[in-house]
Amino acid sequence: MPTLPDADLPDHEVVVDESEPVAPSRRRFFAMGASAVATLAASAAIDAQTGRPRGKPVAKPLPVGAKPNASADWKDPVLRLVRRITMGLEPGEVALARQKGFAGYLNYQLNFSAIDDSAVDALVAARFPLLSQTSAQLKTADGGEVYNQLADAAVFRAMFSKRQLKERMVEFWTDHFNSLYDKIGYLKAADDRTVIRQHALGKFPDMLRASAESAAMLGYLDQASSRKPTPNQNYAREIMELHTLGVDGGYTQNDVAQLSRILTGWSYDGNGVFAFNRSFHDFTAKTFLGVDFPAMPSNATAAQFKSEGDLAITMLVNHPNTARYIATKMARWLLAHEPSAAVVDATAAAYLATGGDIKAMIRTILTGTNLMASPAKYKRPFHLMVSSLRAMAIEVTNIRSTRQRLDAMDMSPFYWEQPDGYPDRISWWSGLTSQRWNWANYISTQNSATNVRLNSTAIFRTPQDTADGVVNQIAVRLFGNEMPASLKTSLLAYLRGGTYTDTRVRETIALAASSHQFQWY
Amino acid sequence: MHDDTLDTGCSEYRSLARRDFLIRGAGFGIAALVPSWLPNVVLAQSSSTRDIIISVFLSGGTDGMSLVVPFGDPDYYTGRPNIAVARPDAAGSGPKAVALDNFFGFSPGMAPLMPAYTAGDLLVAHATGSVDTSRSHFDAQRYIEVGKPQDLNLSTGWLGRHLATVTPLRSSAPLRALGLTSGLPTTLVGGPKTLPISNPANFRIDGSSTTANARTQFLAANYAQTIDPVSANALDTTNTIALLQTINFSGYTTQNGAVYPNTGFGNSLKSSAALIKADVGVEAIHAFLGGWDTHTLQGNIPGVDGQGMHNRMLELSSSLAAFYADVIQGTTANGVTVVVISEFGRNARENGDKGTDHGRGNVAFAMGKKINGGRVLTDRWPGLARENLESGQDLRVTMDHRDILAEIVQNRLGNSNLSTVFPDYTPRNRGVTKP
Repeated sequence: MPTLPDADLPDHEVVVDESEPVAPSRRRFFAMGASAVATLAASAAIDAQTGRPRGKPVAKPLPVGAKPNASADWKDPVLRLVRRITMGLEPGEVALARQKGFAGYLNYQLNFSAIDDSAVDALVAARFPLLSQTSAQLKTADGGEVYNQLADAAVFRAMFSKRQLKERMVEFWTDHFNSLYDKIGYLKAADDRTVIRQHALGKFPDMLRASAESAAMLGYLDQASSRKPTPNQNYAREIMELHTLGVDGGYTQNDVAQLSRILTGWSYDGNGVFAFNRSFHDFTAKTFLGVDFPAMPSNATAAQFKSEGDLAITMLVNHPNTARYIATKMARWLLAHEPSAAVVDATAAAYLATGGDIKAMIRTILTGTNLMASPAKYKRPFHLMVSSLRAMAIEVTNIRSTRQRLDAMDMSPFYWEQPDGYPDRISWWSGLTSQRWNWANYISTQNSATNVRLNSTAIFRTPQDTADGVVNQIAVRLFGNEMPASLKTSLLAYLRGGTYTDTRVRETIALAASSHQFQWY
Repeated sequence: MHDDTLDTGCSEYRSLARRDFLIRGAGFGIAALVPSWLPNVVLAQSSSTRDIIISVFLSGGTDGMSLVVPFGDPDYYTGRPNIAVARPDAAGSGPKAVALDNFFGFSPGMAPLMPAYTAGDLLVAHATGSVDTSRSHFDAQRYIEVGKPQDLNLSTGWLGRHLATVTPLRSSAPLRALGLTSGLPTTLVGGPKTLPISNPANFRIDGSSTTANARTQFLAANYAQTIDPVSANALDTTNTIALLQTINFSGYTTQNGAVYPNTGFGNSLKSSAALIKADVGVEAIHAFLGGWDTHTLQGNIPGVDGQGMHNRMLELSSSLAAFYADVIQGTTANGVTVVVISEFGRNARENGDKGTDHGRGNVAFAMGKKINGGRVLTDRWPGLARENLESGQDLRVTMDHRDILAEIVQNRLGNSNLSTVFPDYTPRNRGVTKP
């Protein structure tokens, strides 16, 4: 195993020959450890292959006295990409990414429909059969079982799907278009299928329109019962504040009121299918975001009434503030809690230039330069769980009891109450430290033929059934071989601090998965 | 329609708010001590007279008119022909309400709280609630926990903001507040040194006890190398684990012969008592007791309809009564105040299933030596005649629950930053606390 320099975050002093034209030969060299120079140069070359203009490096040196987070140890741009666009490192995926290279692997994951995922699809269909049923069929099903299958499948797909970037974006959009299972029940199953998964890597306007006609959303934000003359403003507010323009997106309280009138009638029928209720609709004149919506004749068709809402939604998706809001949120998700203005600007421009194409925005965000300049992000509990399952190659017979460990980590799928979705902030999650450590302990000790199993012998005690061999496998599997020397030393010390047994090996694996280095991605 | 957006706060509150403003204007250099999300605040000074607070949330929307029966209102009986609790002076030997005054009484299931009430340490407030009219469990609960109705973007809780704006009871305390929950309850979000600990007697590193110390040392050293808040939270966690190990929870002996029911909630309060008696600097504890969503066969009295509601009331009241005898009448370094609230009450009239659906006005309780108790506090009982009901169905909310909380925060918890704890609200002084 190669040893890695225990370097601090690189000092981003850039040496650029400005006399050279922008071309693959134009490379940046960073003043840092020799091994890292090569990888960074490689990332710059990778960016150049994409033909995208590169701005100045956006990373700032750490403040004096600050402790680095794990990204200081991450030298390889391809590995950084795998961390960001998958649910966790896994040797097969890492090998595939290395083989394809940075741009090749990103393209491969973006072009998800070309990835054969039929094996996982077949398993999901067999194990979670309720999820392929329509809302009309599900309304008589046991709501608890629908929930369990939906939540189990979320973990199962995140762990096993080869379309890993899509799974990352499914998680993102599930929060963006949050709804609470407790309030809307089985309707979430159709929403997950036809809104979130259908459009996760598609066009944002399509996803918003699908969401606006999803019974789950209409029920969750009380739109379905909103009617003249005193409409419910819940959805009208949130579609602007949370789904499109953002809270500072330039709308007023009067716009909320006007949009709530425009949207009256957007409802669903007894089968959980979108249905416009013309008797609810306020067809008098309105003005929304400065645009007049003239009064309609009372005998206009339902389709004519509904077209007012369609027009309002078109105004929202075409709005530059929507481009900026979505760009900011995606850059936060994929790159850094505080993305640079330059990245946000470029991503918003990509939105406007492509009609809200999510893939185009991702390409803009995830350049090698941007990634190498970004600090690591803190895994949320769902991400921590799935990345552990992947790194440890957990054998899954029944995921349910394992998935239910998310409850103890306070991140039960589809159970965030507020419409803003589970937070993506370190401070929100970091108080649940012992819960994370106990998760690692739990999964490392599982050895059940009926639920889940860590095959410690095959996965960690092979090829070398020694302390060195186990820690080497931890380095490979959990850290893509970018494990700091200090962690290696302390893990070895722990493993050698007691009799070498399978229990001690599993404890060491749990400590590695509990370490702060494994909490970042 | 009743308007609870009061702008008639008492002069005490106004003068305090004014003083806050002046001190802020003087530029006290305390910004570095408070979280960056807070506006400038005055850190209230620690004081030995400050109380520890136990905050209990009755989740599910408890039927306040079963806990505290308005037997003096005849419409209570006409609206609830099957589930009403009989007047204290009703004929016959069946279960009856226990009179608190000439209008209200405890259901039999609440009777264990009579000693606290008659001692003047338990205040019952009725027809309280939120200005938000939502009858959705999660909206109503969230707004109460956050301490500001209809703000979907405020993510910190009122108790968390209190903790962030008051100096710690003990500067060295590794743990200032805990939720007796698996995740951090919204009420506590934003509080420093605040952790979710579902069972303090069992807060530990899972796995072999033989290696627990070595593994904890490994993790403490490992997390010392990363950034805050991840590093600080890990340190708080390991320190708290060490702290809690010094407390003998299983061998805890109550005072005054108190016996906690052996239920989840009873054990939660017993663990809280052990923590408080250990005097380790914990100053706030938040707990939940659920099971109040009684849409069918409510069972308010023994022997009727499965007596589910009766049993639940008994669990609440006997747990609180044990805590009263053990802690509030016992020996503690700091005083202790308990508050009990729920997200909403239930319909004035019973439904066709001998249950009640989601309503509005409800009871709340405050208990402590410095609580001005022994009475039922109302802001004019709004009455249960149909024309007096909100939306024709519910007991009106005549008192914002924040009035009760704010007075406790200011007078018992020593924090005058009420505009931070309860943003955009001017509480009205209701005389909840003793001078």
